[in-house]
Amino acid sequence: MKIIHILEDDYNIRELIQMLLETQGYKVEVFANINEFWKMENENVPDLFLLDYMLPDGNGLEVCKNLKSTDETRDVPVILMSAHPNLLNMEGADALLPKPFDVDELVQLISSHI
Amino acid sequence: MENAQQSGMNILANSPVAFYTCNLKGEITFYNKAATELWGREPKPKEKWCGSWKCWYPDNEQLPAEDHPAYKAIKDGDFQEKSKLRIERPDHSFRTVLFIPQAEYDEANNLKGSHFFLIDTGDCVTEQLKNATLSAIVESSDDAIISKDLNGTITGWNSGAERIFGYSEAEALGRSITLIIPDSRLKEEENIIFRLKNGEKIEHFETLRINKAGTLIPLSLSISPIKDPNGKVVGASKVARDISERLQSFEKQVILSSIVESSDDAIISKDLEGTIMSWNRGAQQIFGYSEEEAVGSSITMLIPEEKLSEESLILSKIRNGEKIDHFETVRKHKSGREIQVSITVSPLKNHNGKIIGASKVARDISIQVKSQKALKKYNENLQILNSVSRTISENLNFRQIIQRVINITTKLTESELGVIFYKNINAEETKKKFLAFTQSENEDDEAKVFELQESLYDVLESRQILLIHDIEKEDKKVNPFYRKLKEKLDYKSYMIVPVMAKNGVLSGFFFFGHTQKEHFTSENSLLIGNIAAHTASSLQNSYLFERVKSLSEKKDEFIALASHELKTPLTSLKGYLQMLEKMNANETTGIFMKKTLEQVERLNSLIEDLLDMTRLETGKLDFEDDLFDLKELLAETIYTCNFSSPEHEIIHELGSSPVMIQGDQHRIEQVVTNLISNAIKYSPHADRIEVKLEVEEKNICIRVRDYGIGLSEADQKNLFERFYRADNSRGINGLGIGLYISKQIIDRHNGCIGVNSKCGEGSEFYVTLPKPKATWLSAKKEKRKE
Repeated sequence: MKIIHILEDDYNIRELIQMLLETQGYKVEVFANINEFWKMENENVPDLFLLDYMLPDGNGLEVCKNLKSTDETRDVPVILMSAHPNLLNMEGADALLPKPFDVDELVQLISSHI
Repeated sequence: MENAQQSGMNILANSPVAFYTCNLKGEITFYNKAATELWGREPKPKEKWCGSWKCWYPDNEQLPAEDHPAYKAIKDGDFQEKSKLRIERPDHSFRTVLFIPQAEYDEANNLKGSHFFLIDTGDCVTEQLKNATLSAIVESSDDAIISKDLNGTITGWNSGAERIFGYSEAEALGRSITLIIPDSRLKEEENIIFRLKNGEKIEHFETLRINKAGTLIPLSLSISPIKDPNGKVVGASKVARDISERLQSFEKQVILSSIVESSDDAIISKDLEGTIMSWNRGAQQIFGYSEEEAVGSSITMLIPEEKLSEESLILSKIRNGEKIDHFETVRKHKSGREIQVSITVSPLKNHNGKIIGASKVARDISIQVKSQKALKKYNENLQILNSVSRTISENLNFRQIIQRVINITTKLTESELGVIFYKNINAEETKKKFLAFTQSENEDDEAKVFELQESLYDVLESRQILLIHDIEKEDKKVNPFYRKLKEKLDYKSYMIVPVMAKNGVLSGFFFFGHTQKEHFTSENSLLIGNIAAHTASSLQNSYLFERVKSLSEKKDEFIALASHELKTPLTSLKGYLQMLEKMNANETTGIFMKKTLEQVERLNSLIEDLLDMTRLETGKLDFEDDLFDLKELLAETIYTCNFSSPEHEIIHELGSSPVMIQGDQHRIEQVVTNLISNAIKYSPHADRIEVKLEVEEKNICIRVRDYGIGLSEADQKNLFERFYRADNSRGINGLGIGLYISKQIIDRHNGCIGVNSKCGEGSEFYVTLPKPKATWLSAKKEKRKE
């Protein structure tokens, strides 16, 4: 079973994505902030990261850069989602997903990167 | 005896016959007036033998002293009678005399001296020779020599007379002398005849005579009586000299010299060595030297040291016969002061044409030069003022304005210290806190904060420009500010120019210093005062601009944040709805779901529009640059729009072949969607929308036509402004930013967007876009091959 780590601060969106992806047969772990995220990342490496951009203790792009510069996570695909207006400027992630998104679009994007 | 001798001496003294006496030593003891006239000199005291300058034998051999008859008489007692001598006078003229010595004896009959008579015999030439010589002289003379009898009948007429009066000898002889006397001068002739009859001679009498052609000729006449052997006056000889040329040149000279004298210009002549030969009144006025001081001095006394090479250049040109015209240079006054002059130098030639010197006319142009300089300065100042105003009014950046102004003004006033103090707008307690800016090339230098002294504040509050010419002379007790300046700074002169805001409040001041006394002029202060006024208004504008800018930035930040906040719940809302839609139980809930999701999309696109607008404002909207088929894009967009409004039919003419366009496909789609949805939105009672795609020579044109409410002319003008909504659009939803965004997008594609419309008849919107460039196409093809 493929594992997806989700970093998203909004409870509703977190719940939505978790529910959606679990119905698609993925094993999902969710984190509400960066601090929590890094605590877990030391233990196991997932098959894909789904990161929100704007977070209470930093931003998803920084997290992405960190992951890409660490040997264990370098080859793990990262999808960055955001309602931020300057989404186009965010380089470094494998894919970008603007909010609000279509659920089908999200499912398709994940399956194409995993 | 004594008396008799005395009276005899008196007679001799006044005798027309030359007479003198010598003692036994030969020293001259007495001589009469006639003797001095004959000698042409007076003998020195104790001069010996004879008072003549030199003595000659009649045959032109010099007479040795021991052969002189006086020497012979006294030394040898040889009182030979009547020897002939020629006496040379100091003026080298000769007199032939008969020398008659007579011995004088004392009572004891001893020789005590001698007296001598000298009788003028005239020159020793034969009468015949004399006559021949005289007639040759008469004939060859350039003067008219005429003789006449006492009746005035012409009896002699030489070739000179013929030349001057135009009558030949044959014409003139026997005629009356009145032939050559103009009517107005006839009385003169009577007077002349009268004087001649009395044996008088008339010399150098200047008058007018008339020639054969009737022209009056100025003449100088000398008329002598002609006497017969008995001494009776029988006629007159008349020598007439034509003086017209002499008169003319004399008159000319008089005129010229009076011109030279009365001229205000310096007129100077000098020789080829540069020695001053003449000096007029104008020269004295301009250069200060009197004629006595100047004539004979070197011209170099007028030339400043650094200009001395000029003079050798001028002299070398003069030697070549060249003239120097209106040469502007500097010369020196007697007092050492320099004078701006314009000089013209011409060579002076003698009558043979040889260059012997130069005449120099110098005009004092100090005043012209000064006024020219003043004019130039004024122009420069005007230009500076213009360029300063332009610089600062073109700019709305406070920091840049203030830096440029202090840089320019410091240079302009040639100050050693130049500072602009300006109220710190952002500081809370602003009254006496100022920012200080000094000359710098770096416009980002941090300004120093400066707290204003109470005393200086008082000075500035007067709002007058303050000029301190010499701080040493200022009374430091009167104003403690002067004391502070003296203590803290090393400058001697200062200029302080307050900068007043429009409301009359002091907003800053210019402060300049210089170590030289009296460095700043009132002209400086006027110019800086002007600049200060310009600066004040520019700075105020820039301050307002900065405020507006910062408010606008805050607004953009707010919209970005708000849209993000709005999108977050929208994301989960949309997600859950889509998931719900998939679990859809029956047909009705399915339709409701679809409608709900449509509204979510609408809400999302409203938020997107708001975001686009702020991104356009801040220049953060990015554009892709791709080549795509506009026909395909239009077809797809029309297809989608058809679903959103079943009441309207969208009729299209798009042609059959692809129409390639360069730009951002997504943004162009946004524009087309906006135009079609507007056409639908603003034609609630119509059922037709027409979309056309036209390919022109250089451009591609999209037309979207509706038959709706239309637009007034005023609305058409403002339609593409942000937040603008047409007057007749009330009751129709919209934010007034769709066309604004469309226009911005089309502008960025170097295209244009416009509208043709009439109220109540509908509108046609058109967008023209340039055809893609060939280079772009080939470049893209290359890229694709890679």
